[in-house]
Amino acid sequence: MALMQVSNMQQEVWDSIGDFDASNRSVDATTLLRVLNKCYSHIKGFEDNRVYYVPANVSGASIAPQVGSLWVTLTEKTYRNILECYPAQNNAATTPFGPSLEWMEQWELFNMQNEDNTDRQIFGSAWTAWRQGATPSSGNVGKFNFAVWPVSSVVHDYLLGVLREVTALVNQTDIPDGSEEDHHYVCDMTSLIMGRWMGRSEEWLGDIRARLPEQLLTATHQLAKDIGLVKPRPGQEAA
Amino acid sequence: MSTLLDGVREVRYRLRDRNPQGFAFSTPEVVHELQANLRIVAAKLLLGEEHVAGLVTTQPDVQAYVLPGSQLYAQLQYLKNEEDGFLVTIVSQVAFEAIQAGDSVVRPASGLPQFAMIRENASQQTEIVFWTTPDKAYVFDGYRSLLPASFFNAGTGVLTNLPQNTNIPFDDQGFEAWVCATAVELYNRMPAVDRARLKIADTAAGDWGARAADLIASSRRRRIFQKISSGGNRGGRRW
Repeated sequence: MALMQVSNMQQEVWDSIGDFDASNRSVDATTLLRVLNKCYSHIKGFEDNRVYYVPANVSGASIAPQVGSLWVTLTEKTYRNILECYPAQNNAATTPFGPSLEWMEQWELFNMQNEDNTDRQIFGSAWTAWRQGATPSSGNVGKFNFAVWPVSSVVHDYLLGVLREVTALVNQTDIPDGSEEDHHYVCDMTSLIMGRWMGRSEEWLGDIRARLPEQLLTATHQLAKDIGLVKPRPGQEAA
Repeated sequence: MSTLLDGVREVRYRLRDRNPQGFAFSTPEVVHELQANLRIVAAKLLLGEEHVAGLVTTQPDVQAYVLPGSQLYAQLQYLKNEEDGFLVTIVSQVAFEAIQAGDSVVRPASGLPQFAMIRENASQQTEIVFWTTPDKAYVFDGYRSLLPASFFNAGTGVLTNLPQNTNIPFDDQGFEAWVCATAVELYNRMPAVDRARLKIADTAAGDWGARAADLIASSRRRRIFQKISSGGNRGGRRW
């Protein structure tokens, strides 16, 4: 067994729903990939615990916070959540340059920037991030704002540990970012949907359903968020 | 010598509040709590003394002088005339006024000061008052103990120094007592949900208060032994 590529997953679904005729599929590869992606995104929403480290020149987390210019808006729009923040030696670094910064709620960090606005000219020791609001058409939907304290008139780079939004599977060789177990769950969730669409019997579908844990069946109808390496922070709602 | 940074770390270890991604108490909260307890513990300890050359330089016909330094004086033990090496006797305010009684207020006796008293003015500056009123410039050396400086600049929340550069003028026992006392206070403020999250027992803080008192007693005992030691054959420890 191994991590599966898209081609393996499609084959597993076809086998599972009994769609064996390669020259005349009931469920064509394009449709199947679309549903696989849907289930993949649900699994990621439910299971995602893989922190991706983004260098500052990608995330935009290079900042010289001062009163009047307290935060930066990050450039990428693909973060589900930001979990960690480290000082970085330069804006391309993908490994930490020091111990992680302390998380602060936005209000507390702003309070501290206001209370202690000494220009320390060193890396921040506390950080915060929050969603930037945007109008639906603005192209800024999904961006985060990012701030640190103490303030510094010198630009410093920060390495962010993020959970990313799901990148859709496209090519036959793409591998979903999850465990092998997750891959089978994606296939079984897809099979349940496509099997019903094909008109397979309830007994048949019952066999597929039996392979999925109860909570995953429930989660199929939800978009579970914020399940990561850390517990929900104070003030943050659990998924 | 330990620093404020050490204090923050020790408190966090006691509370198991060590995950910077989800602190129960942010560092500014811990620092403010440490500062509050610093006042309490410092007043109970026998703090270190320092000899200050030229602590006071008198002027002709000026009786009272503000002692230098921005910290509160815990004690002024000796005052020595640099010129002849004799001590000025520091007496209580009642005794001082008794000595001074009968001296003309408009034309006070002046000469080489024999006695002095200590008083604190309404701005919490420590003043020294001489009798007789100095008739010329005399330079006095002093032995003093100072209470610890505030971590913050007066009137703002700005940390005067970075935590790693803020020395705590306590001995080891005093430092531990300070940490224990602070940890008790923070523990008592911690809601049950945080205690459960940090996996810290409900009984964890039970001993810390008593331990703080014990440590303060140990510290004082050590300092008293140190102060009364005289070479080894009359009480005290051999040094």
